[in-house]
Amino acid sequence: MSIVGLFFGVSIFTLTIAIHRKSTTLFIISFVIATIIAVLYGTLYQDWFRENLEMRKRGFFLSRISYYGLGITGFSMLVGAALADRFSDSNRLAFELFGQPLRLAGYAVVLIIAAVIFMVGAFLLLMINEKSSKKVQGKPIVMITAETWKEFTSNKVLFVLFISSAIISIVQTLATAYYGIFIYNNFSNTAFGGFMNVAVIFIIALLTSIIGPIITQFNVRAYGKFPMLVFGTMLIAIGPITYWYNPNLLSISAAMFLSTIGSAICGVSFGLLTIELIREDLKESYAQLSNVLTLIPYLIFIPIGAYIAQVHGMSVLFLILSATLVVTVVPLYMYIIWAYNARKQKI
Amino acid sequence: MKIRLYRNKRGLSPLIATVILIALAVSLGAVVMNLGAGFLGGNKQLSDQKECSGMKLIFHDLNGPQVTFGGAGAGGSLDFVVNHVGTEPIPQLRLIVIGSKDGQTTTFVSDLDSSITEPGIPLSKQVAYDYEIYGNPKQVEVVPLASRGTKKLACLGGEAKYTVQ
Repeated sequence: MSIVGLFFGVSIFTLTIAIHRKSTTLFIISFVIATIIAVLYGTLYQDWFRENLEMRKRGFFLSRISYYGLGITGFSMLVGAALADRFSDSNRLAFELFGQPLRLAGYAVVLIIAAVIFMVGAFLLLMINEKSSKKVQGKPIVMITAETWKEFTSNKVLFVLFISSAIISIVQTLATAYYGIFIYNNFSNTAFGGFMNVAVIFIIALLTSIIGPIITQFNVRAYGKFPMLVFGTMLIAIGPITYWYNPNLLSISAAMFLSTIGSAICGVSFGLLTIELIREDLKESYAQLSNVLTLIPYLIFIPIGAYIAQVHGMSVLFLILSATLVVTVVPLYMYIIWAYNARKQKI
Repeated sequence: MKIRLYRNKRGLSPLIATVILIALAVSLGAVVMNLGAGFLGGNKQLSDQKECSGMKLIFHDLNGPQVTFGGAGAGGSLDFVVNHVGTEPIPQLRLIVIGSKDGQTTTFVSDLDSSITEPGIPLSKQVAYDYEIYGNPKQVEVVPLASRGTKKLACLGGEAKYTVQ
């Protein structure tokens, strides 16, 4: 894992060089490598953590490590934004390295810091790995079986859930990708400044993501899972439509809050429904199948979304994203609710 | 009455629960979408105007942003090169220089003639700058100007900005 961490640091470093030298090819290569390694690193880290630190042995500090992670993320976003704003493109940080004068923009400094931190992290893990008593066992490979496919195609509710979750996930990916650019482009001269405004808005989402699942669990019991899915989807749709209709820092902060609560509601409800709808022995296989199938609409709709943003502007894209949720996902859920209600079945 | 209320354990039907939650979401959305529209003026009036879409300037970077001050006194000048990294042509540019003279902040504003800027084509300009009136420059901004009928619209958010070091 430490080697993977080291490679991740190096790929971020090459990403910085690509941005600094304005090399599109190097940027694409570095970005692809960094993304693949990020996924690998995340999975390995989770496995390593689970294997080496059992839940009951974690103690007060380690049992709350995910919360500290969120805190550190928020703090890093603030520091990163402050650096990026302080050393803008027109006011770069000038210094000498091995006799060579260098002028770096703030975002490049932030990326270099990230690369160095990953390399230090990898080095620390290398030291722990040497002392570690337990070896991480590789997880068995889960195959997508014909039985899973049969279950997937024959179960209408499961199929509808998959389609709607894929749409929601594509909408969220596109919206989140453009939120930051939109805030930076439109609010550079207001409130905290370009990058800091982006950081503040995303910190609101970060903090909301802590309380979102707690709120959801109480409400799912009271209202049922499918009604909560409809509610969650509607809340997610409030985000993009606010960026289109009335974009100002106050409205988009509130929209971000509701949108994140909506994501939490959908996530928790999906999770609970999956537990109920899929047999225990097919769960991992279904997760694999769902991941593979989601890739197809991703490959089609993400470039289409990017094209719309480039040609017609981000505002139009936000409107389309909200409309997609309300016009396609909500009716799908309503159909299931109506069908089950007609049969007087509890959902 | 109180006892009867608590004894009734039947929940809401899913359909009614959905209708109630949709109504709640719509009302929340309506409130959020209109937040700040009155007292913040809504940034729609600033850079998010349709006329301004696709207009984004940056100072050309050649070992640093291409902004140089020359001359002295009343015969001073400012040279700059901007790149248009947006997609739509910019009909005119506005130069704003924030300066400092005898401890007072000064503002020099000039709407530049012959400053149509096409995407991807750098535009270089030399503008007269009177040091005796405006003092030492502290910050330079080149703002894209769009037009709506006979009115000029300053496309804030698309400007190139340089702070003199």
